[in-house]
Amino acid sequence: MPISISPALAKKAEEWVRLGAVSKVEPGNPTLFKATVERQTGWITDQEEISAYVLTDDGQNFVAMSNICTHLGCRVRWIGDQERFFRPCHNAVFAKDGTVVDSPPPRPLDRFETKVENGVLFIRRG
Amino acid sequence: MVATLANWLDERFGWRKVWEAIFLRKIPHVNWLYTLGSATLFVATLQIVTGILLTIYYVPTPDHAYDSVIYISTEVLGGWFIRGLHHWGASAMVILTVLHLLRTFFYGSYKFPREITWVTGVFLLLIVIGFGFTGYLLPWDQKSYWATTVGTEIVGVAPGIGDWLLRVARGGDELSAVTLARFFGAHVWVLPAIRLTEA
Repeated sequence: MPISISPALAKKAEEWVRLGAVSKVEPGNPTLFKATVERQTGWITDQEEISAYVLTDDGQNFVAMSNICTHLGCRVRWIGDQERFFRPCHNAVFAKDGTVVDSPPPRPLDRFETKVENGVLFIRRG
Repeated sequence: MVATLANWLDERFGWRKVWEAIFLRKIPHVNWLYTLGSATLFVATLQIVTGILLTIYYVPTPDHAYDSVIYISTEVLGGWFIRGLHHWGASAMVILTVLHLLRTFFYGSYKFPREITWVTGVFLLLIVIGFGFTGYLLPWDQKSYWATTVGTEIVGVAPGIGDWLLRVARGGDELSAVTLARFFGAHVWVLPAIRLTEA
């Protein structure tokens, strides 16, 4: 019945999300940014917090990675002492650039498209 | 091939006898008025199917009831159609059931040996009205809110126990979240269950 699969046919929202000043990114260290976005689910409009780890080597080019593990969706966490992303579920480990160090994740951490406008960093959600 | 399968199934279920009893029975002087009963059954089936589909999205709380209904009508693929069928089907149920009752009365079809059929039919009419009354509140818009205010107020004028009945119907002194929840419960669980036990 089309009525029951209808939500699965809806287009995903795509938008640029403002993360913050690029000066907050420490070169060589993944920096966690959080942003609040508005999210429409069914008949409810809600605030949702999304997080991204931003990495830069030269302060010019930025890589923004999702903190959502590519295995089954747990959130990963950067542990500076060990220079690794760790995840509480299933003992997965990712390297600084998001590549898989210890399985089971099937692929590196997802990356967002980024842009910088007047010293402010944006990522594209969608 | 088909005939072999039909025979095989008939030997095990005896479905031909049932088919003959229901669909091939000869009735003297048939006319279109004799289709009111099966028309009612058809619309009732339609109400069950569309009603089940509506529960996939509908939420019976004051916070979300109206928004979820609007969502069904404007966002869900074909939702306006399913809701429309259920809405108009509800009126059709009341009209068809009453016409069917009148047909039965004026043709004298309630007489021996069909008295029990008449009694069951009257109960079914009451259930149809119960479905209509409880379902009317569910969109939780101004019309349904005030219709239920008035409808439950009528319960309240019963002598002696009126006040108490009113509070039972509303789940309190005023129309509230409790009223909406119990009307929904009655509409999708209690009445269908009574309906099943009856026929």
